[in-house]
Amino acid sequence: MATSAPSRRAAARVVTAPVGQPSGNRPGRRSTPWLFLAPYLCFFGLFVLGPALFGLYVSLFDWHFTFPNRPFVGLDNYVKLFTPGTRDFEPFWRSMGATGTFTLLSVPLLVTLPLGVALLVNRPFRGRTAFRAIFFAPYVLGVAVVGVLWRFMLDTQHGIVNKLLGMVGLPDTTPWLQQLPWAWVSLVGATLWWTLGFNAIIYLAGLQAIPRDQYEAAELDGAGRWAQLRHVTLPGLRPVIVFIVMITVLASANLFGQSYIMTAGDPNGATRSAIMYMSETGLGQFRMGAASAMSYVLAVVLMVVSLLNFRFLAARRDDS
Amino acid sequence: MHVRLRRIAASVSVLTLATALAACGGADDTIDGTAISGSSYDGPAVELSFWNGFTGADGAYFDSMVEDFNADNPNITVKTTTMEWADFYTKLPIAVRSGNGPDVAVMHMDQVSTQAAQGALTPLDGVATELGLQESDFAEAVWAGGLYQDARYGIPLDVHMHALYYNKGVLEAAGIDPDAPPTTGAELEANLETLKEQGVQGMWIDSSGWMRTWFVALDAQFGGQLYSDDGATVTWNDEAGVQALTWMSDLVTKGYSPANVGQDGYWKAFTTDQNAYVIGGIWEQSNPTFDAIEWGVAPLPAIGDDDVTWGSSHQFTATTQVEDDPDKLAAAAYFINSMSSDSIEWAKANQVPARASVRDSAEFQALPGMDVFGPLIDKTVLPQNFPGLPESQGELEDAINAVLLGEATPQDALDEAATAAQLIVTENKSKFGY
Amino acid sequence: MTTPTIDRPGSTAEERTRAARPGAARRGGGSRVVLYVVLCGLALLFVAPIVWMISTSLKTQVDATVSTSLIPSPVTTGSFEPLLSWDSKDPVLRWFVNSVVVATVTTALVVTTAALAGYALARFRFRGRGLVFSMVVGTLFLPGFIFLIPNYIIVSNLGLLDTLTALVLPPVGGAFGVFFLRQFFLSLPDELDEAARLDGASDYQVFRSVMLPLAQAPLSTIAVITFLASWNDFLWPVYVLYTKTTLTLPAGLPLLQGAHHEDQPLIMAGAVIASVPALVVFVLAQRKIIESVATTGLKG
Repeated sequence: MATSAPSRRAAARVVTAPVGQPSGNRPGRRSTPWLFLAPYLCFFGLFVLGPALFGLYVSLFDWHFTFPNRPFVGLDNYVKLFTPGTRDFEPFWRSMGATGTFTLLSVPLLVTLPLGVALLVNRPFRGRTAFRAIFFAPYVLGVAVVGVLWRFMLDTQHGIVNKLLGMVGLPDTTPWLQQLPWAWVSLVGATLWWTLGFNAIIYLAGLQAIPRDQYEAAELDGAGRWAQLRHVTLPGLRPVIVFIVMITVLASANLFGQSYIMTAGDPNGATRSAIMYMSETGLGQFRMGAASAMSYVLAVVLMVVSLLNFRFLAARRDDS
Repeated sequence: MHVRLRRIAASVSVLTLATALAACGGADDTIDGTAISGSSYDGPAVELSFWNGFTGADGAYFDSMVEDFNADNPNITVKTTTMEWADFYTKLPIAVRSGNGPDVAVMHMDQVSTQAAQGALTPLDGVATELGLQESDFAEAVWAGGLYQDARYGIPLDVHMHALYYNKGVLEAAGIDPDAPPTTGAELEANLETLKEQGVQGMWIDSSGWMRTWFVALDAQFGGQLYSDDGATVTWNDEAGVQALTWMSDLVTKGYSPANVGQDGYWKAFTTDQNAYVIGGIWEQSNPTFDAIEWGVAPLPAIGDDDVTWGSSHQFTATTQVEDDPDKLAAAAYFINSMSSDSIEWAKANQVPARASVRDSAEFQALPGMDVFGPLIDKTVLPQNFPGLPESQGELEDAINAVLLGEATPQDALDEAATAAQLIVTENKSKFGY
Repeated sequence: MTTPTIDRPGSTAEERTRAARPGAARRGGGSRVVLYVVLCGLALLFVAPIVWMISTSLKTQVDATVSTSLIPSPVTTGSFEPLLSWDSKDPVLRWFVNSVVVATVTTALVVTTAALAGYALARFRFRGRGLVFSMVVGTLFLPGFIFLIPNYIIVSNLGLLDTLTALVLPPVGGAFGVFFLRQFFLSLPDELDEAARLDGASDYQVFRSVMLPLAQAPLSTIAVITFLASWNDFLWPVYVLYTKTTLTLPAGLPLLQGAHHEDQPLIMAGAVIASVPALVVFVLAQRKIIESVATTGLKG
């Protein structure tokens, strides 16, 4: 990438101190910077900042989109989410559990396997670019194609996967999309197929940013391949790993398309994700107050998880 | 999920309105101070937006009827939008509210009150009078399906229902007379047993939400219904419900169906000569994949005490978008009147009118399949019609799913689903006020 | 997982310049064969479903249900015909065009507004800058789904439901592009615009003629990832769009599946129309696309 090393350092500096004093400060006419900012700020205000606050407001009402009467209910929508025996309590937490299960199953795989692939491809050999492209290709298909495609391939009776398994003498009646744990295997598998390349590419860039002299120094110290991986590659990749963990957790918590298309939440609602339940509540049944409350509860849970992640990964940094 | 609702889109349906109605003239009726003339439209040129969910072969029929209407009525231009039913119901109240929805729409009868309660529909009592609609002409439930709070919002268009499709090739190969479809559950099971002895699993069942319609039919056969008559209490977990769901799951446990059939796997198997019996709707008659097989259709056998079947009714509605525009309202009323009366086209499309007099005519009886489906009108259990009720059916679908996958017993699953659904029904009853 | 096998430093010029590090060098042929076997096996897993999709789309319905062969017999393009007509009941071609339009317009808007805003935040000192910047950065950490319900209400009130505009506008408020480009503009030396200013250039001229040309790489990075995100967006279009003619591919494909349950070839034909052009563009521009994704990963 053409971005220069100084810019990368500048970026790093500002990440740690987001409101730091940038260079190039220049007093211009007072309105000038605002003119530059205005187009963006219009969109930002209308579709980001405004909604973030408006959503909180909506969550305080029994906001049925198509009913003119929207009584203020205070924190009722939140309280109900934590009160057993209410309409949403059981299905909501079940859907949170489904999202959590998916996250726990998919994140470790999506953090480690792409690293393996990146290490494989991070070497000079003929066809390297082609392999890199092949692994990334499913990402450009989008979740709709991926979901529809795997749904057909994984059909229990008529899918190609079971037919192929049967041809080589393996069990050919695995209910990939109907039964647990297979439904999870399928959802995680399809997600891997879809996004593995994306994470691998980021790892690859991280690998190539590790200064070569570190490997040479390690080699001089007599470090083998394994030791180099442990003592040079992984520490050098740490910020990238942290980044990958963060975005993968976020992406997994957003699970929607795969289960919407492949399992429709089956079996018995076990793969109905939190986002699915929330959007069905808010945009299918128009109970927007309840759905907004759900989105904030999910957001808070997600932030706590992210903080724990960060802590955990930061703590590990002290070890090395 | 209600994916299979979309199947109804493909319904080539049973018409409930007679041909002869168009001639009825009459005085204009007044609703909310607005004159509705169902018999003619003389106002300025208007454009009507019309939504339906007929995404299948019958969509083409509707389109050609609309084209004819547009040609005959230069001052009304009807623009048709077709979408899947599941989306249709979610999007309609929102679209109407924001003003870019339809002026006229066709929907299932159990959605009429839900949509009316959300303020999406405008009453059409005047049109009903204009059409000469009388309760005595219709099955009671079809008639009541268009009502909400004593006002008429839906003009019944058709009734569609389930019957038993059978694959003649598969039956013949197993030595079963393909032209003597079973009339009782015992006969059906005997055939399934024969097929099983020959290594054929004869009645596949999947675990999708669509199985709700099989359940409704069987529940009714055993004497049950999903909700109490006042729509206030979930009753699908009574003895009839348990019997119905047990019969369904027995298809798997007795080996008549593979376990864990993927969604629609039973149709795929049926159309590739792997499956003998399928419970399916009247609209499947025009299923293009049937071309590859020899098939027949018969009324559902009496698996329970009575050989009733599941069904529903499509109804014409006008939305609140037309309320502020007397011309549009009048044009909408005229359009609905014309479409529902002009059943020459419908007759060609395999329809059986609900009215006995028309049903008896040789012209209708000659149509393929109608000897089976026509009489089923009296055997069709139509959905109970209370606003917000459809929201609770997802719980039933989850229960059916769990049982057919062998995760729970029918009683446990139905109890659990009934408890969850009761919370929804109770909340919606007070919210929608019935 | 396989640890990196070792082989000689690249012998061609290209390989030398792109030489990879971990334990570069030493053993030869044997491990290279292992490497290729592993990679080819993996590649097969990635390519096979796409090949199967294309093969199925060219089959008849019975063939697709019964046969496992990758070679359709007979080969038929019958499944494509109903999808490629503009006025089809399942206008997949139209959905494709809609998707392209949405992704293109979104990208243009994001790049333009983010460049202007990122530039202002990086290179002007003004009252309120800190506040604006911290608000923008603050929203970077908010998960997207909290905007779903309120944005739906807002878009509806603007009368934009069921329009492509409803897909184009909200992403323009996203903070990442502004943040990313601000970091870039921050890294440019002060002398650049001072020199231009001495020549009498206005603020806008400095931005347009001095800064933007330097920012080509980061701008195209933002363009690529914005385009990809828009192309892949699923939840929002599924709920916001409903008329057959306004759908995008992600919103349309599940409907195609819903309307033609048993017709595998037809649905796969829809998937092929949705993916083959994207794959072709990807193959042509893969280096740029992959680099862009990698860059945002490193700096994000």
